[in-house]
Amino acid sequence: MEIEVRKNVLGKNDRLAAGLRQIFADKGIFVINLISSPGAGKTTLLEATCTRLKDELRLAVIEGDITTTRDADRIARHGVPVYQIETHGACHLDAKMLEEALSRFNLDELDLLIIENVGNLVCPATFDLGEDAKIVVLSIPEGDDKPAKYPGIFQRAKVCLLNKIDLLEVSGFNKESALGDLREINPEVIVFETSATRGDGMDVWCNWLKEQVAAKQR
Amino acid sequence: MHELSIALSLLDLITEECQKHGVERLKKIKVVAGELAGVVPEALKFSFEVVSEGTVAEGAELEVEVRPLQAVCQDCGAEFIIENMKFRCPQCRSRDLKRSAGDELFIDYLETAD
Repeated sequence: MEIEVRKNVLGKNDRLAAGLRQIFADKGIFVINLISSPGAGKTTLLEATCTRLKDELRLAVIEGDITTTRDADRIARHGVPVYQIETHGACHLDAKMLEEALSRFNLDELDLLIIENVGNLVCPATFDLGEDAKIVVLSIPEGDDKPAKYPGIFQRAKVCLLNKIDLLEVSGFNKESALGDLREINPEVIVFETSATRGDGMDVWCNWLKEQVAAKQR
Repeated sequence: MHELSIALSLLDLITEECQKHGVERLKKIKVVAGELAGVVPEALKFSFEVVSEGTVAEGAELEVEVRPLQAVCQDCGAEFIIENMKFRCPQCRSRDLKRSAGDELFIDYLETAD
């Protein structure tokens, strides 16, 4: 006997994510899901973002890591509310983990929630967290072939941060080729060139975040 | 290795369906995965074999059909398969496209063993 099912395998995650998206809409919280390979500079970028925005916006950060609270400790030093999800081996965050983490925050007092996903360009792309935007960070030392090699995440991203741009000259990274591939995969993606350590592009990136928060709360 | 999480979700859904239909043993499970769903069929099959041990799906064949990415051109209306991740309309070269398939991941059907 054949039983027709036609049901989404990740339906449970997607339903939870839809519920979270509704909560974020009701509370006027703009939510980003930050995704990159390990070592692309997500946490340093977040620290630089927190420094610039913490006096203007009510921020919170959720850190996803397989183990250790190192990243969360770094964010906490900036006086920004942070909660660490240790995934104990799992390579991505899912909506259930996020839902549990949200109970640690007062959602009535938030404008911007930044979720730093587990460092991985593959798995986090599949799991919706109810975010407004997936932000992919591509750092110069990783090489210009990453968009072509990991199209799934680059296709779904609203913004691509080309980070560690201060290393462009010494790296042999072909920016034209990387951006060409990126535009083929995702014609609508917004690109910001940033260096979290030197400060390049950080104001443009933070202004974009402020605009998105304002638009969501309008 | 998110295939393991996917295999667990898959097993939950299968168990639910089998209970609903009073099925005790499965012969085959057919899953459809869009190219963009990021599922490696072999990895999913291996994970599923592990998690389905001792369940209604133990020993059942898992077939994973990978479906290509498709888009509809917002300028000329053409619907086409996107090859090599090049988001460009083959007819009018427009880049204003809407994805119509390719990120789905669903159970198509179950085949019972009796």
